[in-house]
Amino acid sequence: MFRRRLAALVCSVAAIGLLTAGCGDSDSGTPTAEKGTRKVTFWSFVKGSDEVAKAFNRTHPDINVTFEAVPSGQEYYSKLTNAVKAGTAPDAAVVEYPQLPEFATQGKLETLSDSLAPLVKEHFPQSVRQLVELGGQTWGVPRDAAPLMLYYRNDFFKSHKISVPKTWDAYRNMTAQVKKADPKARGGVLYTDNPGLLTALAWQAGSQWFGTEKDSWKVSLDDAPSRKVADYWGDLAREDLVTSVSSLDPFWTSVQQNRTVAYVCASWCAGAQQATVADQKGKWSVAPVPTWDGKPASAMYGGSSFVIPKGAKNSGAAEEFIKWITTDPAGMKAWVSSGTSSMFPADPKLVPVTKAAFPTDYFGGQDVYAVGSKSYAAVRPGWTWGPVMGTTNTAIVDQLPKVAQGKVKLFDVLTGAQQATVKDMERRGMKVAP
Amino acid sequence: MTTPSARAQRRTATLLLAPFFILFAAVTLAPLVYAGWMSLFTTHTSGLGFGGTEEVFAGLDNYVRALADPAFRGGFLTIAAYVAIYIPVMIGGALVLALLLDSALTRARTFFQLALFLPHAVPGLIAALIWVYLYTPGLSPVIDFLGAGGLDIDFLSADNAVFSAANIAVWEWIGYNMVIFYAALKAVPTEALDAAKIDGAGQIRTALSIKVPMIRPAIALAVLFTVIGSVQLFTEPKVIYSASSSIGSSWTPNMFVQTAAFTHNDFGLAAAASLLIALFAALLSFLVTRFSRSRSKP
Repeated sequence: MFRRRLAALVCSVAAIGLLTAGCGDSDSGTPTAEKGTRKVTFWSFVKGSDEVAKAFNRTHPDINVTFEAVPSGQEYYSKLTNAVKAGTAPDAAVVEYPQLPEFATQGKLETLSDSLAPLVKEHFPQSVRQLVELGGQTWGVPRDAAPLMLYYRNDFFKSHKISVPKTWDAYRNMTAQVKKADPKARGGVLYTDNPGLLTALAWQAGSQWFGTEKDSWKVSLDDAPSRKVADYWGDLAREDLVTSVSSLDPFWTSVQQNRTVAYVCASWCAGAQQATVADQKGKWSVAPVPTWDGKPASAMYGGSSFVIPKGAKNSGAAEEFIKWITTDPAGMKAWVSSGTSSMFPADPKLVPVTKAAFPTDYFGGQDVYAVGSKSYAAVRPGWTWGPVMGTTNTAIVDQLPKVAQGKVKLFDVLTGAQQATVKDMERRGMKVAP
Repeated sequence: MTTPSARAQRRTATLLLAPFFILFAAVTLAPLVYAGWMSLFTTHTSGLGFGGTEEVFAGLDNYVRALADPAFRGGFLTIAAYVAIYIPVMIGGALVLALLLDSALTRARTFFQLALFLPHAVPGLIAALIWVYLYTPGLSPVIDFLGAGGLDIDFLSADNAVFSAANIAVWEWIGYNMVIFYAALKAVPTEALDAAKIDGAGQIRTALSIKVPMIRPAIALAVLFTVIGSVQLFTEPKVIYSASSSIGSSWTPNMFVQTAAFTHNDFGLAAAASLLIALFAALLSFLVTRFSRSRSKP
């Protein structure tokens, strides 16, 4: 009997052991003496990363980049966290803007203030620089920006005589018209599993969820612009004028089945849409994202930067590599060499490079990048991501599905996330201004 | 007084057992001790937080925080609801299948045995893909079929998730437990069955009065393992969560641990919570063994 019980105990703790193994805390960096081996390991989940590594190796015989594909999303950030803790971190890695401050405050990144900071200052506009410059230091180099646009089914809009909305008031009318024209179709989505778009819309409205003043954070997920946006989208969802679905397969299925005929997304959606719903070629167009007052205003939904994780063995070579892939025209060309990515370079000077590589026949020959450029120029400066975005995002996502059911108001979701965020920041010892 | 041969025997025994104990220490005891150590600390930073972090001794604070967290406690309620649905269906189903296989009614036993066991042999990842497909509205032929019949079911909603998770688990484990029960049934002495037949007992009577009582230890063991497995419920809800976030990120205690560690970067809390889960599982297995032993006494 003892053996059986022991076996049971072993079963129950082995799983937990697995879960917590590798969560050690050995933040000890490798000695700088090793720098100079000119070997760079590079982690990325971004499309075209393998081509980028190959192209770099071809043109840089003195440095050898080894690309390792990693999963995207939360799984990746866990992996990177563990690698830094275990001392097996890569030399260069992709980190999306929302996750960057958390990595920096967890002490998992090398600061680039003494190396790549001037490059960042020289190449990138303020609205994107603010996402990688935090607490007076530079933590990453922007690769792509993700300015908002409105995607819509040109054929549907034309045949039902629906005009493309320029303001959010007009957008509401449009969603009603769409529903009237086809009871199964909707003119927008509120994702149930992804706070990114909602956040971008708050940013566009002029909200600033996070900010720093001297040595304390300001957190205001519940400010007036956020309330405006939350009330607006919460109503649309509750009145069933937009669909509430997960941003993954269910969303793309709804596009495929003509149930989503318009949606707000970032520049990268052009490539994703073209790849996922290939048979709707020629039917889609893009337009500037609607604004509250009709004047251009935009924000970013997604986008990524490159960082050097703590403990990188070869940060010198990694710096050169990062510089090439983010600001060199040849590097940018390598990213989009497959012709399927509609990534929008964070360095505006490189837009012609990516534009030339993206075929526009899917969008009826429309200049998608021109819309993107205007949107990028209109991105509201002043936005900063928070240092506990994991907590902030889970607090929102855990409640989002209830919004469409009418159980919870979208604005209450934000106030809940505000409390959870402040609580977690204070627990970690950060200073939060009241 | 030990003879040389006895000493040699002991040496051989030690040698043969050593790999087990080394592995046991490395993959079970060491992580356990490490988790215990980690649960006493918390990561601290100051000001804006860009000046680096330090590990601070927190005592039992992480345990208090885990127990005080409604999300963590709620996870155990989820488990309770899940067990209430899952165990009767799975154990009952496996038992019925094993009895059917064992009865003379079934031809092609090996075929059915294999067919029923097959889901358990499917790797978890593939199983997850299959079920995500079947549960996702817009993709699933099952939902389309039910919808055509006027029945709109959201398998991924917060209310239905417990059934959906139990369903995946039943699919995975019913064949496995059926094989165990079937093997136990094979060991039932034929004299007992013959005697029952002579006494005029039918198939059903024989099954209920002879076979089931005789394989009770096997059933008790299966229940024990299932209960412990249920406390660690993770894969099935994770599948559901990946398709729809409606159940939230801390729906079961193990999901709470994962979220704490990898989304909140709160490793101390995660370690404390996982040790509490282990403690709970140990306690539960003790109770179940106690209960089933006292029941199986004649």
